[in-house]
Amino acid sequence: MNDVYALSMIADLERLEELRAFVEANAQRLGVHPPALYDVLLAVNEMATNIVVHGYAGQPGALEVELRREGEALVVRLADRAPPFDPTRAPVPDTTTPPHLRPPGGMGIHVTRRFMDSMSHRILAQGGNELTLIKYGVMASGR
Amino acid sequence: MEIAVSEVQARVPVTIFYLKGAVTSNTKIEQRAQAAFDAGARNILLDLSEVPYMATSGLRALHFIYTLLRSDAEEESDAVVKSGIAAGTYTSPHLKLLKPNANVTEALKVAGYDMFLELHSDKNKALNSF
Repeated sequence: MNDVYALSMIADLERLEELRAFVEANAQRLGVHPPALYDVLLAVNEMATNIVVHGYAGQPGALEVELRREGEALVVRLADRAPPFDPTRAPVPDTTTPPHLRPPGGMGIHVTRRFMDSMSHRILAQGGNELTLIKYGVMASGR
Repeated sequence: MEIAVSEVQARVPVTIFYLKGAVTSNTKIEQRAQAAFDAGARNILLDLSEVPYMATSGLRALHFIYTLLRSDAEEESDAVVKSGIAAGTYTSPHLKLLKPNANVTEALKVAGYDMFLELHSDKNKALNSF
């Protein structure tokens, strides 16, 4: 069984369905059990959406996604060539503010943080960002 | 994702949006909600029973509809809504959700949307709650 699955694509909202299909199929191949699969799928979709919309501002750009098993954990790596942006430093939204008094978006990073166990970022030497998401204990033996 | 719309006369007129499929964009839902609002709809029940997956763009659509339907009534003023959310006593009188699955419910809770939107599991009770 492979331990690493990788996809290189042009970052585009129209191609996120392809990305979700890649994540779903290969996370299952790596042994991620179904209850955790949704969390991973949502997190990768949100971070890829941010790369398309904010990182590349809708312009074409490269996106690499890698899924890797490390013991009982699933490690997801997303790499782009967009201007530096560290989502781990994004403020936590105030969910107690009445909804009509807060901006409509900004939930993607928040939800990703809550659905994954670890999020780390580094700026790549050649330019761009590398975001690593980890979810522990998601293989067949437990979540 | 497909959207079907129907009108029901409960205690007040309620427009039901039946969503079918993964929600990965807010645009279509917002357009249909705006069209319904322009045609007179003031209460919307979103049936999510056939939504297996909802990205945060779906949350954005809920935010849009909530804001669209919010009225100028005193019980929906900034102060009342703010204190009501803090006390756990306020939910939108105009937008309610029906049968979100466990995963969608979790995302709604993480985003704090369950603090101002009612989640129903029974359609008749949902309709009569407006």
